[in-house]
Amino acid sequence: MPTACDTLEDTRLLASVAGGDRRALVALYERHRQPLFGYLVRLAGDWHIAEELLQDTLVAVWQAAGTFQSRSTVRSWLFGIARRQAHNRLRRRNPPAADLNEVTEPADDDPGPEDIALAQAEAAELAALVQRLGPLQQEILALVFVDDLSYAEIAQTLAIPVGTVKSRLAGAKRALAAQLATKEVAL
Amino acid sequence: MKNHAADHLDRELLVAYANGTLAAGDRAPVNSHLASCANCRQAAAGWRAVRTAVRVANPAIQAPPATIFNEIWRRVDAAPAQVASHSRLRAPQRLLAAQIPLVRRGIWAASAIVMFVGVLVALVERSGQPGVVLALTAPLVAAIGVALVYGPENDSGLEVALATPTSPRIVLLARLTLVFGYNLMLALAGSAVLTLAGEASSLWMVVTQWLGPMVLLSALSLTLSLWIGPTPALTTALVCWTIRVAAGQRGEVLVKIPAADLVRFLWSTSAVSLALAVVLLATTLITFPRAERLT
Repeated sequence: MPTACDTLEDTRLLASVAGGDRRALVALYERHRQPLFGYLVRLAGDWHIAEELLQDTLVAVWQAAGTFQSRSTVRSWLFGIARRQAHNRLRRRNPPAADLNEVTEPADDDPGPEDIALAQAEAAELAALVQRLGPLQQEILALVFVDDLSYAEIAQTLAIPVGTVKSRLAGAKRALAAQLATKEVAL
Repeated sequence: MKNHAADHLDRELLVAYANGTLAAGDRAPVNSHLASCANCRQAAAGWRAVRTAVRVANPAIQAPPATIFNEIWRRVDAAPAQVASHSRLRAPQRLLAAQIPLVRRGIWAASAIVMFVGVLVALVERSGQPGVVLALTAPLVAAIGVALVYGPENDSGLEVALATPTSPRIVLLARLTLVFGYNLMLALAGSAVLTLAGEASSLWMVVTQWLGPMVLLSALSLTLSLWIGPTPALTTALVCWTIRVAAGQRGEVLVKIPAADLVRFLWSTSAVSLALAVVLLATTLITFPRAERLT
């Protein structure tokens, strides 16, 4: 999770980018390249397409730096632009932004047997089950646990309410536990 | 910070704890709660297992080195002038065009049909008050269109639109321009037809009958739609307009209502109604990001 200091440095760098400072964009890229590129690879499913999308994203950041309004963190703004670039290029393959049947109110998340089952499962087995979840569930899990984005940042990146972030995350965990239970019954 | 349902940790805190991203200030209270709460320890263990699995499923991928900037600067340098003129001159045009398919399709046809019928009735009736039918319909039609311009109820593509660097305020302005502009054009065309057909002595005479109420009712409808939703906005616009119609024309009262003179004055083309509309619209646009009902 970014500290206040990181956030301030990001905002300062982006302001320099808006002023035409090329080194600032390189510095901004260096700070975020790993999660940003990882996100694009997940969206594109292909390293080479992700690299092209990364270039599109950075050109768009260069051109749009002046429009950043601190409504979001710089990080979620970058992710939002990356998502938009991926959407433009992969229009047909892009997952829907929201599932219409999705519950927006977070269900109470009482710890129960599913937590015990998840905690006892083999990591490799669980990882294989993660890859069988729906694209929206995989996306939210990776944004939380790989990219370390906060709920608010995810809400800004995906342009969904924070309540949907919560319920989608809880749904992903439930779905994973359900897959695990099904698998164990089948064995 | 606690879950309201029971005295357990909030899920975001649990997730951050399991993810190792808990803010420094939250660590001590979370640790002390976990030490005494088996339920939350269990939930944290579940989330930690999910975190490990997600990380295994998404191995780190080496991002391209900063040398990709050679290509990026080449692209930036290749068309600097073109990019600038593109974004300055053509961006508003592209933005407007991009919003057309996102506005509810029914709005276009419904406005056109109602205004067309209004003009037709005025031509056939020849009541001596050529603008009256248009004056009754145009403000309400525009207000209905404007109420349906923005918001999750009105646009399934809004989430994607909001993921772009284009600010929601600009998106709203573009749609408002489109829908209100369209209704304004329709009403102007209707007024021109009435004038050309000899029903009215001047175009301005017809236009003043609907312009002020149209602007004010639309501003009211937009404000309410953004703050409390399209349905209450539509209902309020309808009620306001019914009261205005009931107040009738000067000297021929349809239904006796209190302060009919004031109602007629408010819903007429005057500096007061236009100023009211401008104030409403400006306030709404300035406070708009807070009014957005997305979070």
